[in-house]
Amino acid sequence: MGNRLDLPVPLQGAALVTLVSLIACALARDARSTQLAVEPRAGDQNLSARVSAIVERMRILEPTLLRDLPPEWKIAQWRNHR
Amino acid sequence: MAALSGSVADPAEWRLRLLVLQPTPFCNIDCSYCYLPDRTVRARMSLATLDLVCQRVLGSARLDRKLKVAWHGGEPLAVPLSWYEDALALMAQRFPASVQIEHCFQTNGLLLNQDWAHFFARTGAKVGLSIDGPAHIHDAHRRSRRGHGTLERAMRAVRLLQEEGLPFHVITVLTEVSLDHPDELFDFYVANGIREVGFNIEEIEGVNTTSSLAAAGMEAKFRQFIRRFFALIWAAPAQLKLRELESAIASLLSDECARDEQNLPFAIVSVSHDGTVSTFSPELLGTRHARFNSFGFGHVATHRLADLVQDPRYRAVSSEIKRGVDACRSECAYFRWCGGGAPANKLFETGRFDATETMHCRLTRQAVLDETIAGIEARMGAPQSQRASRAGRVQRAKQKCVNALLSARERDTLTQRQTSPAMAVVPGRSS
Repeated sequence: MGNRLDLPVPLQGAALVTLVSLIACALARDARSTQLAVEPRAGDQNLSARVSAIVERMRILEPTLLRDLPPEWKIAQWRNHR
Repeated sequence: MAALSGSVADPAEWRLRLLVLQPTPFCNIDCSYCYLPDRTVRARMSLATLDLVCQRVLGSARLDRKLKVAWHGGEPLAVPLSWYEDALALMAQRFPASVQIEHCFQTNGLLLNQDWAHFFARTGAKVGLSIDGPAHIHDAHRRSRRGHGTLERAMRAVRLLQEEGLPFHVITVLTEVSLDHPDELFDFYVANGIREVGFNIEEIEGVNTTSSLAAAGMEAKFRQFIRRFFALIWAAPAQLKLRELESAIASLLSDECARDEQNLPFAIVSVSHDGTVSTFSPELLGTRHARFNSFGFGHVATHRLADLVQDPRYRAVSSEIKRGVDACRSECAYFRWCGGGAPANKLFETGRFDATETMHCRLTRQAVLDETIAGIEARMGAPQSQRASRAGRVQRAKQKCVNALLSARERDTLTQRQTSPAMAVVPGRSS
């Protein structure tokens, strides 16, 4: 069979709101992100510092994202559990 | 840069949030990577056993106000719908309104029909379909006992749920073959209206003792796959939600150390069709191991959940898991965002629960976190504090390049002519 189905109407739903989309939007609004492309820094800094840089940027750009993170998202879940 | 702060939650805060019920070990198909040994056994959980499960769960001091009940097989839909009508009615009767129950079914979809769809709609049950992607990927592993591919019938379930307007997610098991086709997989999901996906990997677990992802070079390939998938989703984030990216970002943004519910005693309780009870990784239930034999720590007919901690095997398993988490905490740079890995994968890959790094954690934790971090960094630009030093690095790199290109005599000439505005452009041109 082919990979494409004839899509029924109900699945043409609203755009998904995801953490990826929220971060992408926040960075798109941030002029600084478009000024200077960055090469990958793996090994250049430790993991903790790199994550801190991301968290700090998000704290400035999208503070509600950090504040309203649901507690259950902080728990690594079983693989067959959404 | 300030180090990340983080606190580990008090063990007293751990709650029983996930009840994994195996209504039958039987599965109607025969996936090549399945970990379960008894999937030809057609036994079924009795309602009397389910009633005892309710009593034991309700009697637990750790029961959370929100309880997810995952009906997991075998193939859960191999048990007749009428059984679930009775089972869910029984549970609704036994649990007080103060406990909010959400039922979830993880199914291969082959037996899903309109009656099932109406049942899911009526009960608000969540549905996960197991689909590995286009036919050449899915049918390579997910086959009937006669060896036929199952994608076509699984996609009928997709269409049916969509026609009924029911949300669902898909779980895809990644194998070596999948890693060559990130674009094709992404297009497959989007073209078929699949909006939420979780990636599992072909694991070494239970009776599945090998994995195509354990071969040399697979980690690099896996990282490349995740990198590409990250780019595809970033470019169209409203089209597809990938569980791995969402949970990686959530753990990065969280001010708490991650915990893995599989390492927390009784955060997950698993009960087999015959009433055998286990905890930690649900895959432990129904699998066997040379050192521990089985991982059933008691039976709902004879044990309260609180009694299970007296079982010698439970005590041995629990303390070995704890040692493993402690070892991860002290050795692994990723611990803060991982929580110590999955006990079942540690055991089946290394023979011990107190091991640390596994293929499973290198791929599903480390690689995913690395690629998520690198993906965001690449798109966010350098922070102000790094821009000055980066500008300095860039200038030095340019100078090095110029030096390599120009001979000593040319450098001498350049030095003599450095006041010339035209020559001042040279380093920039070489960058």
